[in-house]
Amino acid sequence: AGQLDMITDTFNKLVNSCHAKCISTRYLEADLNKGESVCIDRCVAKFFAVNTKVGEQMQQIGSQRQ
Amino acid sequence: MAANPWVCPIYLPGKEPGLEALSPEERYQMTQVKYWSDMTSAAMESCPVKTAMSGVLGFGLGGFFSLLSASFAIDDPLRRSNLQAAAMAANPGQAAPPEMTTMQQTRAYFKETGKQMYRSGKGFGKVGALYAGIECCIEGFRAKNDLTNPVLAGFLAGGILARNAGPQAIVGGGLAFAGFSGAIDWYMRRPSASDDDD
Repeated sequence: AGQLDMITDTFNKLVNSCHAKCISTRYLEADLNKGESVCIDRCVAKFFAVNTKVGEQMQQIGSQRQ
Repeated sequence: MAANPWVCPIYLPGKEPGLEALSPEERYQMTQVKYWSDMTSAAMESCPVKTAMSGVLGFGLGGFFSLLSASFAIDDPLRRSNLQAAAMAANPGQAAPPEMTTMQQTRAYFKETGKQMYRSGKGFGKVGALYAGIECCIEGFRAKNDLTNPVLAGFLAGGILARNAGPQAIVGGGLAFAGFSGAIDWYMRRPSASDDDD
């Protein structure tokens, strides 16, 4: 249950930040156009890359402290 | 799950809402349908398909316009006689070339029209495919969807189309095409005039 909580939390953060970055507030149709799809692909990849890097750094700091 | 209530929830694979009434087989069919429709819409957005579609549409449009202009052109009734007179003058002493029957003349006319349609269609098709391809690539590279995509693509396409006519023509043609495509995209992007609810 805790794991699912974490995953849902990460997913929601990902959706929020990539939506804020990639999708403009003015749009005329419901489908994602090509620019937005490409932006979302890159955003998700960067999010996970940053996630893993930050996790590694925090692990290092944690292991240094102990 | 005290997460943000306004964001997409995660559903486990067997428990999507709205599908409880379906049997597992129907559910599988729905997932298949969704998969293929997603693939199709993704393919429609891809650059090669967009280029090809624009090329084909341009070809059709060019042929149609050429057909219209050919139907407006008035055929000179004395053209055949003038051609015959010129042929006789060019080859003195030889017999006059035989006059074509009406059927042959009609066939020749349609062949000419067809060739003209094909030529004009090729030109329009090249323009359309070039512009669509460049715009798709620029949009894919920038990952943004705004007005500078069509303007830049128009400039490059206009420049490429005028590549044989000197640097001034390249820049001028590019600017004209850029302005034209930018104006069209600006028009298509205007917020539609909808009445506000009272």
